[in-house]
Amino acid sequence: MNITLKAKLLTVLPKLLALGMRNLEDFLSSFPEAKTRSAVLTLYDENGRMSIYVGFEGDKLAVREVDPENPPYATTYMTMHVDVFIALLKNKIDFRAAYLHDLVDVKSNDGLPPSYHFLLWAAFFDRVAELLK
Amino acid sequence: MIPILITSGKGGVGKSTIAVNLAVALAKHSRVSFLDADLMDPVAHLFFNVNKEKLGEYGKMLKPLQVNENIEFMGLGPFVPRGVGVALNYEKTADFVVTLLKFVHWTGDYLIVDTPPGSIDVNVKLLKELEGRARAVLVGEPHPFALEDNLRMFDLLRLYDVDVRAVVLNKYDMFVKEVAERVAGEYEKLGVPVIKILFDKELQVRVKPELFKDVAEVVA
Repeated sequence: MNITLKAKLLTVLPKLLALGMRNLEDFLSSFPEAKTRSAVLTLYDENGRMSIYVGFEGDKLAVREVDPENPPYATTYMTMHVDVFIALLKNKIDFRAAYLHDLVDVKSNDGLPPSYHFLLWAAFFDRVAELLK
Repeated sequence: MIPILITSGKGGVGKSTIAVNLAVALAKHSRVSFLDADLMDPVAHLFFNVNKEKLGEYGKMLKPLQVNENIEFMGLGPFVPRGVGVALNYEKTADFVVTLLKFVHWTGDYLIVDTPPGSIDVNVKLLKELEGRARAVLVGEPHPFALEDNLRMFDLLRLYDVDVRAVVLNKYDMFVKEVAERVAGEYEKLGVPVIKILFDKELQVRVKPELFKDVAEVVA
């Protein structure tokens, strides 16, 4: 377990809770493409990495921590420094700017180009940023 | 769908202005798709007044943004925050080219591609992906520097079997007459029609497709 990384995430706990208290299913229903997509989000810092799986299992949204060394299949693998993730949640940086400045890496596992996923994820992060304002 | 590259060996010669006006001219009789492939410095969306909106999908393809009944648009411009520098490495750049060219549900009779300037790697990637199916308009200004760059670009277009339909010499009357005539003569040796467009300051504020009727005729 990467303690320093999780401690950093605690600084945005209120944001994460605010997001969690929304009806995520309703939120995601405005993104029909989300139903056919899944992601493993890997956050890292100088001490290590942690990964979170986000995706639909049947009709249910699943969010759980997974082993970064052995992640489950997901249509996209997204990797960023934990400070970038925190800056995104705090609306200090735009997801598109982060990607275009090479601060976010997106890999595709379903044959579609990574930039295709990036464009759709960007719309998703816009909505997340709006919710967290 | 016929891809038409609006391209140049040199930057700042008016490619985007010509591409947009040509798109509007062609859209009078056809459906036109418009791809702004200038990933680092996109501006075409400003001419079309395309706003950022939630991007949709059509199957496993992105839906282009609708400009009007006959013109659809896709490019990074509407999706990149204003003032943010685009620091894409080649791998990401090439990936965007593939997405915008092959994973957008284009429905036009023509696909106008506003390219970045120069015989650079992005353009080579574009040319490879188009696999010799494209037509092109080579844009320049009538001065020797643009000529040098465009001769290289012309060679590159020919190398990838692009059908160069015209050379457009933009703002023709803004340059020293003797120089302009000499440069135009050099372009004429390439064996493609040379179309001279006179400077029109109104093009800064509105499209004037009637000025590009000749260009539309040779590419259609």
